[in-house]
Amino acid sequence: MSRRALAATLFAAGLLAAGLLAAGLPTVSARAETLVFEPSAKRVEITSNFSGTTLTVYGTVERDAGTVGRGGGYEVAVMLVGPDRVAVTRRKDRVAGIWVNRDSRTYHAPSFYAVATTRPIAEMASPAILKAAQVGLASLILPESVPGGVEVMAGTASFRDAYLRLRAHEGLYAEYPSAVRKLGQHLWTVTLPIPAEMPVGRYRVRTVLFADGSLLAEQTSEVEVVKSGFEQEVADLATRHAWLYGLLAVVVALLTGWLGGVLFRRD
Amino acid sequence: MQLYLPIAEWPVNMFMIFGVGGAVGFISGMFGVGGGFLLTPLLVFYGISPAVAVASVSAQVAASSTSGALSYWRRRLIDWKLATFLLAGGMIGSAFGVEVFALLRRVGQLDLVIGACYVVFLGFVGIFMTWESIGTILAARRGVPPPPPKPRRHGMMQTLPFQVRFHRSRLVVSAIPVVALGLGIGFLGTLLGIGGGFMIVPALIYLLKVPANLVVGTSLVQMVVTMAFATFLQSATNHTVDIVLAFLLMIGGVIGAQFGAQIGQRLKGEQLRALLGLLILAVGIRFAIELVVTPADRYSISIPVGGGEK
Repeated sequence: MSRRALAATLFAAGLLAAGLLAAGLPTVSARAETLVFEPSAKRVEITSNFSGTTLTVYGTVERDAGTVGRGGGYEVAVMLVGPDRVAVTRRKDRVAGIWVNRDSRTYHAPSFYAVATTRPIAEMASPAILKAAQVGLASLILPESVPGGVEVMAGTASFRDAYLRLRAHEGLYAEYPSAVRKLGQHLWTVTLPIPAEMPVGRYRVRTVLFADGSLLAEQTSEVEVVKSGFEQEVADLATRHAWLYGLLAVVVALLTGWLGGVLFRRD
Repeated sequence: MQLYLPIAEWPVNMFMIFGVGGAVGFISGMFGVGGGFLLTPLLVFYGISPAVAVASVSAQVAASSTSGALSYWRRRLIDWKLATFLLAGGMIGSAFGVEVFALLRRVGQLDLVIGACYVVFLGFVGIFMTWESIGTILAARRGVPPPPPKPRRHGMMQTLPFQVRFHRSRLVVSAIPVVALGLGIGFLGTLLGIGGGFMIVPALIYLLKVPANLVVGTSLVQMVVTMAFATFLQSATNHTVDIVLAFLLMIGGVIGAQFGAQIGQRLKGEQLRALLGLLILAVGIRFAIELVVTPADRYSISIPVGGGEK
């Protein structure tokens, strides 16, 4: 499984590199760097005693023989991006003295987004380039729809800010500036914290390479976050055999109640 | 010890949940109520989503009511016919409650409605119970004998059609208010994640004039069946019953209830009612404050049902 994923990743890397080369013909020599990296795990298993973990990513900047080294050095951004989910952000307003949810915005956004970089994000590239690369919370594109379902790309700033702030507060969105350590001229590593609250699903590990304020290369791999063992079986039963699960829940409740009554019989 | 809840998808401290279940169980054993009205808000406060809290507490209430109901059954203190009539309404109310619950969640007004219902019902029952019991305590202090039991006349209850005779309770009333009461409690219980014991007990005593010794056992039967039904419906339609969470609460609750019952036996009925009334009132006031006071954060995020990629 992991070997297959690695092969797929390498294949994708090849395609990407080829694409970059083709797209940037005039600057072939300037774009001859590629990123190669490997996360410490391909699969994060959530078991009953799961209280968060970390994901370490090692990588290197590869240069083909003809490329001249850069004076300014490389900057790397590593992102862990969760599966897209629909999230409704609501704002309370006072109606007749009572605080009521009134206006809302619906976001189709990553359920998790952590980014670590070699330098403070704003110093790595211009806002436009950061936005194109989707690096940093400020650059994140969040498709938004207003009540009624109309989708708008340029969202309402107050709702967007609130969404990002709440997500950061929950520990689901985070920035770790200067957390990517350079181990040498080309080798780098980063350890991203993974909170216990993280949603399950397929995560993308994205790495982006910058130099002198421009984007040189990008590379993506996948990590799966799954419930495992007992947690998985319970969740499966609850969704796939909801009736059976319901009956089981009722039986457990009645049996526990009966047993409690027998054990602590007072009359 | 950290424990990851499979349905809530939330890590909790196992002993914390155990302790919450135990503390609420203590109160429920002491006063003879389910304690759902305390448990659901506490779980939500702890970070569990209201949907999962309400559904899982249904299972917990079903369990805690079972112990109580069995004990009353052994003592033959249940009016089965009355319970059956209440349940007929309760089932319909419960099914209706699950639907309204899902609808309110979709439009984002679940918290508001739950909050408002808590304020209205807890406030009303709390004030009534406190008032009545303090009156009784003061009267006893002054040495005034308790008022003679009122003659069993029901006025409107006797003029409505479908008169039914409940032999065990020595009662003849129309089936309409009985079924309506069951329906109302079933609906509110499912919607708010409470058993509704604190509402059905006064209703049976003061509205239907059921003999006091049959009230608790009969209402417990109503609660077991309605809450078991609610647990099943929430599982089948909303997938929100967290069996691990519910089980921890049940264990804590069953143990806590034993200690509560021992303390409860040392107190007089009116003293218990006064304490319970004040407790209910306090929870109601807390919800009222939340509705009125400017929230720390006006924004909130919710995940719509079925909106996630599983």
